[in-house]
Amino acid sequence: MLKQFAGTFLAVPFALTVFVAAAYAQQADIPPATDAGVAIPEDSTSSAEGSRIIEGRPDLYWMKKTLHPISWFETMVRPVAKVAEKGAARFTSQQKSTRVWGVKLGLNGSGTSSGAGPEVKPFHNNLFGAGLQLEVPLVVTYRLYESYRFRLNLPLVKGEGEDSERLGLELNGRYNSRPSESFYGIGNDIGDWNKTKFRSVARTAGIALNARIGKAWTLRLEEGYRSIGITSPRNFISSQDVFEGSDIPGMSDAGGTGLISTVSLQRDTKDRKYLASSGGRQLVEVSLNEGLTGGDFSYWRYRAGLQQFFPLDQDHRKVIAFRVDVETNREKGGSVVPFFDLPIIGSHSTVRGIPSRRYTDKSAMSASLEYRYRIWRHFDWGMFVDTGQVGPQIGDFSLSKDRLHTGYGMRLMMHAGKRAMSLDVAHSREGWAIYADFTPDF
Amino acid sequence: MRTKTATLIAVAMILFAWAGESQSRKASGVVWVDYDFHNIPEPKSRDGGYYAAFFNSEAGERWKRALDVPRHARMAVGAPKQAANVNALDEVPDSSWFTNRHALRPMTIEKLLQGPNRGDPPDFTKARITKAKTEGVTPGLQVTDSKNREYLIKFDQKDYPELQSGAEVISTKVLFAAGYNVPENYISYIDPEKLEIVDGVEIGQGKSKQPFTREELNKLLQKASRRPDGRYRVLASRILEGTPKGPFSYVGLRKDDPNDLIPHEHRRELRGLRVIASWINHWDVKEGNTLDMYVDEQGRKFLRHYLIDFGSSLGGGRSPLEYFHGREYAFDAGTMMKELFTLGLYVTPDEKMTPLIYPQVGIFSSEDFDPGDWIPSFHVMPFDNMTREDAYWATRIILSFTDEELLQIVKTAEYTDPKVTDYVLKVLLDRRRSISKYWLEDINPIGKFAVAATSDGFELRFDTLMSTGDFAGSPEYRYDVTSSKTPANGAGHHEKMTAVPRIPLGHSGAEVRVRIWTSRDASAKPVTVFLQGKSGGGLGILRIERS
Repeated sequence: MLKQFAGTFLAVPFALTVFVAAAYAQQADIPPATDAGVAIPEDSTSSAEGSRIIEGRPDLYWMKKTLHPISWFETMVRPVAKVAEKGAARFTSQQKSTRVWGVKLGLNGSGTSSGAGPEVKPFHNNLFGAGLQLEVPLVVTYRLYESYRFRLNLPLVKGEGEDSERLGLELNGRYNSRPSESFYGIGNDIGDWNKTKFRSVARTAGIALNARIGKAWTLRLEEGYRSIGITSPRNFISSQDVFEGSDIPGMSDAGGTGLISTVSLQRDTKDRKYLASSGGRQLVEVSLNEGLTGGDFSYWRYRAGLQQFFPLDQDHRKVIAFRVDVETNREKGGSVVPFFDLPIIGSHSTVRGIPSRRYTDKSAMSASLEYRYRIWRHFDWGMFVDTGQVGPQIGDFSLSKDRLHTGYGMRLMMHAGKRAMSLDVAHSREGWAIYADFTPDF
Repeated sequence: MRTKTATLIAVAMILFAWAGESQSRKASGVVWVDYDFHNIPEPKSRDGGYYAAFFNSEAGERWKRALDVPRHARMAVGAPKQAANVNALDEVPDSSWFTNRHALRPMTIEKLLQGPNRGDPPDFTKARITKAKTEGVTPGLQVTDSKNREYLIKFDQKDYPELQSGAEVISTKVLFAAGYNVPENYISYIDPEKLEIVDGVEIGQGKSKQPFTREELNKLLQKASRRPDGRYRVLASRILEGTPKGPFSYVGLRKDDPNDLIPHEHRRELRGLRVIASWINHWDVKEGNTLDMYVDEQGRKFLRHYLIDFGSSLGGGRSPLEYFHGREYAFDAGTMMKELFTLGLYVTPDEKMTPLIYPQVGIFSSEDFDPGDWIPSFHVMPFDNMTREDAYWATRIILSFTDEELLQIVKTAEYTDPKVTDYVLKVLLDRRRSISKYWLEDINPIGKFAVAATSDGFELRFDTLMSTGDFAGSPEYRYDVTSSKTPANGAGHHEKMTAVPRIPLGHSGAEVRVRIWTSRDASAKPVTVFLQGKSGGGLGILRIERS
């Protein structure tokens, strides 16, 4: 019945279409004229009201415009486009604005697997008229990850030109709620059958001194206080329920408080902050975590990172990008490193394609190699391969195929001015993953 | 099941949509004025919107076109849809869109140089800034001159003196002479000390708005090209008379304009604009650079349709070293796919570099100009619909300028270096030559038909653009004449040859049909001229067919 109906339904318009096509094919004939005069009037508007070259609008022209499904789609897109245009104009205006204070609106995430959401960022660049810079980025993602931060910076020594600050004192604080963090157990070979989740809520406050040395070097000293609570996720198997009674550090505690002292040295020669096409960044960081309450969480953390970008042509349309990050944690005395602070493999910034936080241990390394090439003025395409592993110590790392977790995939990168975004599709033997990054620093 | 039903409905709607359009009946007679100057109620301002226009031109209309099976059928049988607003003589009648000027009503050199300008040039010895736009492709100021006339002024970039202002003035003159409505554009010189900022002028948008101060003006001027005498050369565009009603769309009809009967994608003047735009490399011919003005002329209120902003023509633009303009769409999916699947090894126009010729002309050149491949930055549906007949019409317009006329027009750009004037003229002539060769190649390029009385009766005289333009020497013509006196069995009716563009008609009957082929290209279709006896004696041309 449906077939018959469809057949009739399609046959009639098809016949009509063929007829119209045939009519059009012959319509090159210009209708015969009856007036033999060919004199061109000197001034068309001043001539007496005359006739039209056609008698009216094309018959049923409205059908072409209104019945076409693409017209409906356009009708739907138009208001969205208008809103986007207004937003873009506002955003551009904000970026170029020299206003001292205001509120910036944007889109951002809150770390691994958080999803994206609106960001509201009140700011003031000269608080109390004392040159104090305040910004308060507030983000809630569609997965209900929350990140509320503030950063108050007092430039102590200024140089010349843009980004002229040489020495600055910074006060910062953050509330970070992560409602659904994965935990599979500790180790490089851990299976995925015991996937669990936990919720973490962290509150931090810190004071830091930033010193810029020359054009590229930055030294940062920071002292911070952190309070972290670990609870059960809303809709998944709880890590604490599954691993209760195990010897996984921190699993029997509900979090804790502690002081974190950090010193880091960074050299940054990247040509732009996001999606660089030349230069690189080298970072070494040492921090000491001293537990105050909760579990006995005192340990040293050592981190090193390298990013390097090799342009293959003069205008940087083709770039080889390389990244390696290593982290290791050493217990202080008889203390432990809690599971929620262990480095991970399985994220956008470690090994893409591996499920989020899939592998964790006291040490972790990951590396990426990407070939990027321009496909449009604002779009680059990339192909990448990532690899990484975790282990109790750096000495346990091996280049053995069995120990390396590898992901590979493709990447669309968009950049316009200082703004950038990347969209990655990755695959590993553990499945597929898609990532969107609004601050792609690699 | 639901998906299937929805698909069926969508397909049916597309089919109905195809079937839904048909041509209105054309008026009989040779119409020289398509009278769309009737009084209409004041239309609402049309908010084009850059994003919406971009989506419409780059996706919406292109997808519709791709799904337009009847169009494919017409193309397959070699009968593309012809322009809807051509008269029986294959000409575009005057309208609120277009006025036949130099090609049909030869203009004097004075008129050509005057272009759209009416009255005196602006007098900025005393000027007040009433609006400011410091963002965007072309920052500009709205200024009132000492005679209280309003202008939009734009500065030349610091590194490219005279570039945008020169391009804008030349293109204005060319497009006006071609027949389009364009604003009055002047090159003028401003002493910044004489500029006064009116209270309340603001820059920025929304909450980022802030007063436009002398400091902001100085910032803007720092990016502009300054003359040795301290003054700034500016392009002063007179604010158009009437009320602005937003840009016109290159597709469809304006609902609130009862005068608008011809779908814009089928207007010949918009189709043929492709050829003219390619000549002056006016790649930024997007919807946003058009404007409908609700005007009051001789007691009639109607919409007049303008082309505006030609600062990106003749090598101009915000980034004059960008090679891709005219060679690649701003969003070119085809190029992107080539890049994507060749891992970036395909060399796009975007990555090509060419040396700067003069700062005053950017990289405007003729050596690498291909008229068939030339494209604007955004899809323009009338350009995609352009037929050989439309191209012929436009080519005839650009061939109507003599070399001397073009030289005088280029001189209105007031380039300080005469070499630049020479160079721009040379490129225009070279590009015109390329255009003529390309677009006249597959068409029978004869025109300018006229009937003259001779001692033997009448003769039909004509001209060929190929020999007029000295592109292919003088061809021979094959023709046949059929008249009401020709016997029904065709006796005495046969084809003849002539080396001169004159065909004897003798004392033909009341109705005569003359078909003429140009021997240069035997495959080209004939041009058929229909003639009819006049009531007062003699023969008149009834209509001309080129397809």
